[in-house]
Amino acid sequence: MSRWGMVIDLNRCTACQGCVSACHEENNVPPSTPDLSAMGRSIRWIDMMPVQEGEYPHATMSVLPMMCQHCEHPPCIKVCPVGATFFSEEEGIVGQIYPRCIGCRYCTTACPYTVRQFNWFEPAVPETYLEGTNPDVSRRYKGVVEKCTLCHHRLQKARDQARAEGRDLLPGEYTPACVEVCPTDAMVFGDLEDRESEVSKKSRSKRAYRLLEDLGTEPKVFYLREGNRQ
Amino acid sequence: MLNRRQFLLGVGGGTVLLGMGAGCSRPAKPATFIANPEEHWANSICQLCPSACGLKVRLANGHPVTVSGNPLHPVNRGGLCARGAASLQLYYDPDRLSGPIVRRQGLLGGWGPLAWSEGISALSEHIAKASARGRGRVAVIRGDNRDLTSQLLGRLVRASGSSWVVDSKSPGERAMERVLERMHGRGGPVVYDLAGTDFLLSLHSDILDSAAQTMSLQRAFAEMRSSGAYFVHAGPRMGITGAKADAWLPARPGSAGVLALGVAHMLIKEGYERADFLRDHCRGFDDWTDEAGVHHEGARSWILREFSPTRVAEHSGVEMDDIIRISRQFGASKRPLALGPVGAAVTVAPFDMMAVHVLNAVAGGIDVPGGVLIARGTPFAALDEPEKMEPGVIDSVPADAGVEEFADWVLGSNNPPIEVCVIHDADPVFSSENGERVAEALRKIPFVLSTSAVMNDTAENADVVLPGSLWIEKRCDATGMDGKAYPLVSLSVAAARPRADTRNIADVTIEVARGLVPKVKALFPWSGYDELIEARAKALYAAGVGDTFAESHMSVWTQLLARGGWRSPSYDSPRSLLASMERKGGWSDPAYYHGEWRRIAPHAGHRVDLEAGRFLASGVSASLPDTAGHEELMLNVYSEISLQTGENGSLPYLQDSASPLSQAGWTLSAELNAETAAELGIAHGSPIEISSAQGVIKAVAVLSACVRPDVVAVHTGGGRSAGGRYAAGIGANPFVLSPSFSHEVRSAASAEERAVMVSVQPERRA
Repeated sequence: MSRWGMVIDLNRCTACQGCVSACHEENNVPPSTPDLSAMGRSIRWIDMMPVQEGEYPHATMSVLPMMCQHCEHPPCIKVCPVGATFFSEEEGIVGQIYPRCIGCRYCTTACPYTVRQFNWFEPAVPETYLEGTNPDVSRRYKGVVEKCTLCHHRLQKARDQARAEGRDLLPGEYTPACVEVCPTDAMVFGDLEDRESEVSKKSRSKRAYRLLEDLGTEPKVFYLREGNRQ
Repeated sequence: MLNRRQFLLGVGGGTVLLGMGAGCSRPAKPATFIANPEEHWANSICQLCPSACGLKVRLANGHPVTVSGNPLHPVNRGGLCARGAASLQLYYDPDRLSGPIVRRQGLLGGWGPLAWSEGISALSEHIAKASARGRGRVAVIRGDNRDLTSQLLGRLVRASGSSWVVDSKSPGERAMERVLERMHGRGGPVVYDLAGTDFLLSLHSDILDSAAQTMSLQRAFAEMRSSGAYFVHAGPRMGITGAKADAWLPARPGSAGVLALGVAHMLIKEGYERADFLRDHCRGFDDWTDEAGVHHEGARSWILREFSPTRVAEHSGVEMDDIIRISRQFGASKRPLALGPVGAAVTVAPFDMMAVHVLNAVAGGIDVPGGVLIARGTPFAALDEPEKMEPGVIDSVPADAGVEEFADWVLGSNNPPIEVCVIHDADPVFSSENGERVAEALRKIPFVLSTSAVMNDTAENADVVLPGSLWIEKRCDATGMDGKAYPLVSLSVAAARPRADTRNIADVTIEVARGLVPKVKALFPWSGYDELIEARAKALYAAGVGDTFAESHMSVWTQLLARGGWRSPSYDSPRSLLASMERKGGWSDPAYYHGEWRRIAPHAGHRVDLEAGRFLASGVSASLPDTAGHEELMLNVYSEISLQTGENGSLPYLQDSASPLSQAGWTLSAELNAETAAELGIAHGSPIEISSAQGVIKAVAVLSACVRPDVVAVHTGGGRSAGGRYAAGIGANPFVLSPSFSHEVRSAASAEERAVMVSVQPERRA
């Protein structure tokens, strides 16, 4: 049993969006268009969320990398009528089975973090881009919901490799694309169940918090709040 | 075309694999979903910004599918920014040029295909004829000179008897170069040791919002924040930089220099200045009398007289109490550091950079840990250094000439004509503040050649386009990256096959040069780029310093050994050095030696010349415009983090993630203070028009409490006329609003002269 989770240190995050591009490249997220963007229909598995507080000239702002929070008690799976979204008890990851999805969008409504994305249109991917498709991840199509999988395909590959070598999965062998490219090491990933892991220790830091904790969803994405602010 | 339901029906629900991400793709493109593809990885160098980060490209059956950072590369240590991570979209750009093209003459017009041999012959012939007619008739406009291709082009132009080697650097970079030449007697680059400071004062620096957000700087910023250093950002808009700061001071545009000297005033007045540093390493701080008995006023006197907190508060719009409080915190810190407008896309005067540099000198923050470092150079000279060349310099070309000065020269009536211009790794028609004037200049030149891989705004004004190979398609190099104070050379192999009929422009340049007169040919003794690389490897080996890239802890070890006079390189010949560089990504000499004042300030006395800095402060007394009661707003232009000044506009991932704070990609978003917007009758998300005496642009209003009420903030990166489906016609270019500043105004201290006042109103419906 693992509980894969992430800690994002907002002191180290510079909102460069390297994680955004890397995630989308890794997971074959289709390019958007001006029209889709204007309608709010761009597919984004991870995005920057600015949060402004206060009034000028004393306003403050935080910028949070925002993706599926991989809740321990995810509201999205309770409303899915066909079992297309599910919770992996073995890994603690909230998954999505595209062929099962009937596009009812109950899950997008139920998700308090609004991180589930619906394909309102057939993705417009140029022929040349298809040559650069990551073969580990299937493309999605009109009428299905998609979201961050914590690069689950990387877990599958790492686990297969470990199994082939007759050993357990080692810490650091499974890392999502966003964490891998983070230039400032603001994102730390690992097994929250392993109390000696860096991610577990950081998740217990005094600076750690989770979004909308009062809802009882128990997200496995933790944020470390910025320091020194007066 | 199957729809989803037909697809499900066809395969049968029970046969569909239910594992995540497996077997659920549409059948339309079966060729792209290959089970168990043959995989391998190759090193490359990202060239979407001057950071030149190390890449590792993952290829499946020969197709690049993902990129990640090279963990051995000292600049990025395995990390990537949005640009690097999306860089494969340029490789697969559906609108890339398929090969060389030539502008058709006559009635047909448009563009037609061209053979490489014809394009190379045309360039050779035009250069030969132009240089035979006189000096100064050949020019190159390039992004910078950090790779051998750019240096070869500069060498070709100089060898052809011309000094017009123009780098399209940002106004901030050029301003800093000018300050260094005056105050240190040398050029840059400078490196800000963010990781070592305990108090960072950003004066309009926009370091996390802008093109200056290089990988080294980001990593150093993270180290600084983790160490608990205090961070204050002053600027017209908060942006990401202000959002990540401990305090934001809403300062008026153009006030960076005044604020810096206001803080310096307080340090001097309250005794926080570092007297020992000023005594040992500066000159011109105290008043002095020269041998002829003439009294000179030192920096102490003019700073105390002209930059009182009252006056600085009035000019900058920052509360006087805040200036005094921040100055005291800055002065009381052990290792304070001030950053000037390094990343600003707007015109930055050398005065601003000078003032910030003077502040750092007063605080003792030059050539110290946590301060301003003057980067060590590589152990070999650049190929295009003028002193290494045949005499070809014409005195009338300004030493710091940029694209705007080049355009002024071409359009001037009494100047010798420029007959040939090569544009490489730059798009000045789009990214210059006066792009239309640059285009007009290019149209006046008889032969303009672009090496762009995509049809950009500048290539549209060319006669011939010879598309160069992308970095991923060729062996390539980069030297002396941003943010590192020590010498560093990156080298990569060709990671993927070319997707179009492209060539390495370094090879093309050598071929052109070797076809010219013997005097020029003699300066290009290499048969091609590969032989040049081997020659450079020999020079690097002969230098006897540094080692190829290694893990971070090993680099520290190399540095310690070097300090003790020991060395244990991982290679034993130029050939093994080259092989090791290609395997690991490059070579570096990872040590910075403090106290080398002969290197830091080579001019007389080896001191920072504060007196020389004062020339830049002339005319500052009326330095800021009075906007009180003004109906117009001040324009604040910043370079957007993903798109920068627009070079990367053809990458849709970057268009989509532009303006992370407004979350309005694919358009120009204009930040307005919510109260100002209410007075103007503008709602959040509504279309607006921004107009100046020069032009009008359309934008989407983003209301915010994080921008000054007398400012409208817009970003660069949009408004291209070319660049393919993902760039052309997207957004708007705020430079349309800028007046055509003269060289004198661009250099002036007075922010009032450089201010762009605009009217903002709801878009009028037709």
